[in-house]
Amino acid sequence: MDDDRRVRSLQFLPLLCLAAGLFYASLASATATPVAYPDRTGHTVTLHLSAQGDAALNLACPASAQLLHVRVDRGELLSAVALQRLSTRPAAHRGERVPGPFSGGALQLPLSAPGPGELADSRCRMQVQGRPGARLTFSAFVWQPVTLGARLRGMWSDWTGYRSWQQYSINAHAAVVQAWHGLSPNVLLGAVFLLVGLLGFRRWRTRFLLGWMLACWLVLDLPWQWRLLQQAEATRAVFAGVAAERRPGLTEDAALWAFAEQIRTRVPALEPRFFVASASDYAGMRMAYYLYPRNVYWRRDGPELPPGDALHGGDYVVVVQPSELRREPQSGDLVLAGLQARVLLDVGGIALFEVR
Amino acid sequence: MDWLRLTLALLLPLLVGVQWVARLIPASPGRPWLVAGYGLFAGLMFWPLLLRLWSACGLPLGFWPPLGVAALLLVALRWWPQTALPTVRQVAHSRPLPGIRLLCGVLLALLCLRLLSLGAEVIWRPLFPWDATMHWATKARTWFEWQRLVPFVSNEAWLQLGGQGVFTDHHPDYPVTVPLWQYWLATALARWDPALINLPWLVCYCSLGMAFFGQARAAAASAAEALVFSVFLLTLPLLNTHVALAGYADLFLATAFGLALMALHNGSVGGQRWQWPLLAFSALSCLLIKNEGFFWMLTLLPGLWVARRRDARRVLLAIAGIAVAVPLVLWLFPPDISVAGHSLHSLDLGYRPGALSGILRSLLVLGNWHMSLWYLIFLVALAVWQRPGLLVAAGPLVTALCVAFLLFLWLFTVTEFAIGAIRQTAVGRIGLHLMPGVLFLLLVMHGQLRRSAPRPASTELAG
Repeated sequence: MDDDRRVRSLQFLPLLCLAAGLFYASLASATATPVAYPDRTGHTVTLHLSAQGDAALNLACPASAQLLHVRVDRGELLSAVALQRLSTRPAAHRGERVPGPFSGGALQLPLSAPGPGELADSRCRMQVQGRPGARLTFSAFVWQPVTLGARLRGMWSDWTGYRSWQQYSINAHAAVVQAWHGLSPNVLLGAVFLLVGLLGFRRWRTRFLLGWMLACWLVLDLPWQWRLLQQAEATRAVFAGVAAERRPGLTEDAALWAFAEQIRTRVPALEPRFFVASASDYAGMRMAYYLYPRNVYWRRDGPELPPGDALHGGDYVVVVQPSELRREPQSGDLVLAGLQARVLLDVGGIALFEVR
Repeated sequence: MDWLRLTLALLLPLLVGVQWVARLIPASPGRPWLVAGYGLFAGLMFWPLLLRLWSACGLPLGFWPPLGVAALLLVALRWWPQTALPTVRQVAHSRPLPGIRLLCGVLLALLCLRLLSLGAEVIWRPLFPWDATMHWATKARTWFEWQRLVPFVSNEAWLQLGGQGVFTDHHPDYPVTVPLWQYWLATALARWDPALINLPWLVCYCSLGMAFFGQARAAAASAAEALVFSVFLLTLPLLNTHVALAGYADLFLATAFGLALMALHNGSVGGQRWQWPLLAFSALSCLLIKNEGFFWMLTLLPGLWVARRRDARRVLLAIAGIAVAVPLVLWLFPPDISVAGHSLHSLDLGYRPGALSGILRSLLVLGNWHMSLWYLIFLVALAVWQRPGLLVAAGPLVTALCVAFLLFLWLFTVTEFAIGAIRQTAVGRIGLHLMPGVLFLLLVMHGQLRRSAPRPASTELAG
């Protein structure tokens, strides 16, 4: 009887082992990909951008170099997305920033292979930048290996995709902006032009050459013309029908322009001197521009304000954040050597002070 | 009413330029295009000079009084006796094939579409790029509101003077031609319009295109060839961007230097002596637009030296001489003497690794110039292989462009401006100044290769 009971209890042993195995397997998998970094393949996720316009999404990722295909519902609100492979050292997180907007709604985000000395960690983070407060829905999440075909397709979508004007547009025209595919339509077409051009020239001389050149040129130019048309339509949608003097209020400078308009109302006289101070070249420069025709002092690459004796009573100081100038915690007045500068206006990181 | 005043403000000064240039150019292939192209640019340069003279005489600025002077000048130029101009021999061209005519139609449609796309940006978009609001439009805005050309001084001078009677911005010493046009259009509108003040950029774009087409015809290119190369020039992405995001002076300088190079080439070919005044006016215009214009103007001098006697050895001697002279000047010139806003001391001489790859990236990899530089590489290789006599046929143009390119290389490899090549912040914009000349060189090289390998005329792009 005892033996019989012992045998029957042994029948549960495999079940116990299975349960223990499942328990340890679940523990092990939780260690490899914590719950905080789930597999998002095929899922849909909604992100709410912060007041600074950023958000992050954790996800599990492969250990090799891959390309993540994602769809987003309002891609035009995105200014950039980056996919970072996390490592044990936060400073070593790497990820290529892919600039937006993504009007077509399709994103291809490169994920590099683990670098030398880095752990082949399966945890990734998708960093998103865009319009503050925007709610965006990401879907699909499909991983693909980075093949030559994927690179070519990446170059094509990069080249033919719409990108609005940026500050760097005036300095250089990059037909493609994403580095991961490592291809340039200019170089590819240039190489094809040289090879075919040489063969054609030997056979048909210059009559072939100009036609061939024109054909290659148009291949490069038609996507550019298409982008110009899309851009013109976007510009029309924003600015057409708006009074010219109010148009800066519809640009990225809206806050600076609106503040300058408030100053115009508050200090209507043109004679007083205005000192613009900011640690940001762009913000300081644009603030100064919107203050003209007043007598404005703004210095690039130097101290935010001239030495204290340069300012005197009746002057105004406009401080645009970020700035290294200090303010009194209680009154909010500006701390200047030997001078008192009382705050008159303070809106969203921009403040106007009157020197007394 | 706005549009009427705007039209008058643009039309009358520009017509003065057109009338003046029309008196210089005799009947020749492409004359209407030359008159329109060089004339519009002459108007763009002449009008700010008149406003400066007006202000220097102490006359009150405004809209109608200067416009009245423009109208008087127009009448005077119209009725002033014209000296007889020699007629240039017309080259007979066969009628182009239907396929070529169709292609020309398509290209013209493409150009119209480009002009519309860029025009939409100019009309609607308020000032956008960085420098436009840092040191160009600042002056225009101030002059418009104060209705006086009040002086702009450096930050230091402004502090010393306590801002009394003077204003300051980041580059107070830049030439005032571009902001004076913005001032003038704001005055015409009687309000500050941060978009419409940029209409001169559209005019400059058209003037460059028409002058290029006219000079291409004057260089014996067929109408179809001239049109194809004009399309190449007018569709360069960075050039287009400088129209769409108007506010920088680089388009104007590119036009002035390009017009000067084309006049240098055709003037040196012989039988087109009327090109010399066009060269002189375009070259001097470089000084009125940006400080760099002074150096571009200097590069025309070796070209002029070669133009006196055209042979290949002179071309090579001039280029080699400048290649040696530039480092010598940099070595021997007093470091604290400022020329056109720059001193050797401020340039911080020394080779910058990484700048050369930035330059190559700008020229060949990025989309700034489409296929222009690849085509140049190809044609240079063919010219070396086929020896079509390019150095004799286009010696002055080749010399001036090579010297300009040498300066360009020096600027971006051994001065502090190398950072502009490494970060792609300035190399494209300075390169833009050379591109109209480069495109014209491509046209000349193509024509020379064609002429050196004769074949049945019916198969060529006839015009």
